Amino acid sequence: MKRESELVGLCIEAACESRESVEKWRMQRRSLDRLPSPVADALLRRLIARRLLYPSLLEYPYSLYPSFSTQSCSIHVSNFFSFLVRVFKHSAEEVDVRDNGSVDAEWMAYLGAFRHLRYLNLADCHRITTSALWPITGVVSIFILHTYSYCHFLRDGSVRRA
Amino acid sequence: MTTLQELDLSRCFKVNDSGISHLLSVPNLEKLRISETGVTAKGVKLLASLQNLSLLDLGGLPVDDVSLTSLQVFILPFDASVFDNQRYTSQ
Repeated sequence: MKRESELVGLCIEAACESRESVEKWRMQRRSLDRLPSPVADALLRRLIARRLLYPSLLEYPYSLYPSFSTQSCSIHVSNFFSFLVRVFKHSAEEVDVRDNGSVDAEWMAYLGAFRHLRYLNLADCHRITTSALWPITGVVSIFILHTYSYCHFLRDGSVRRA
Repeated sequence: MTTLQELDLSRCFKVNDSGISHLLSVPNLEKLRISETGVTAKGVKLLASLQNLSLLDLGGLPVDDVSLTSLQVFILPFDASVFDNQRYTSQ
């Protein structure tokens, strides 16, 4: 993988300096939606390496989900992944999560939505199963299922309409 | 996913031959590492359908002559890391 330039490196370093700095740029989400891919890759790589990505830190406001009823859906656990998709979906080309014990089918469901993903390293991710690979092989419907996986009040009819 | 060119599943031991059959729908895959996974010779034979493959790491997989023969469809330079494979069985 390519290393970032000195200037980009300094910016990435500042963005990943602490939980507080991550919180600052998280609030500027909209301006990050179209990051240049080298910056997005470097930022994502650094966040993963420093274990700065986890649900409680990157919690996504319920109000940004107009299609969900917060009374019937608990989407807390998926907030991080939704954030991940939103920020990096259109920019990240390289994702390296090797030797990360938390990477599972839900991760894959959201990585499957990355539009420009060219390089994916899952080495030593022991929770990755055959079925976890479906999203990156074109089984788009799995993404929908995972998105709704915490909606305890959904019935068969709702899923059919989705 | 048509953009994916390089995938490393090394030591993901819960990935098996069915996983390989799913990967066949990733048409532009160029580099694939599946060493020490649950893939068998049957799964290796399926890889012949990935026509853009230029690097394949099969370390630690129980491949045999038949499955390797099926990979002859790949043109040189094709780098398949099977020769340090102690589970390779020649017939």
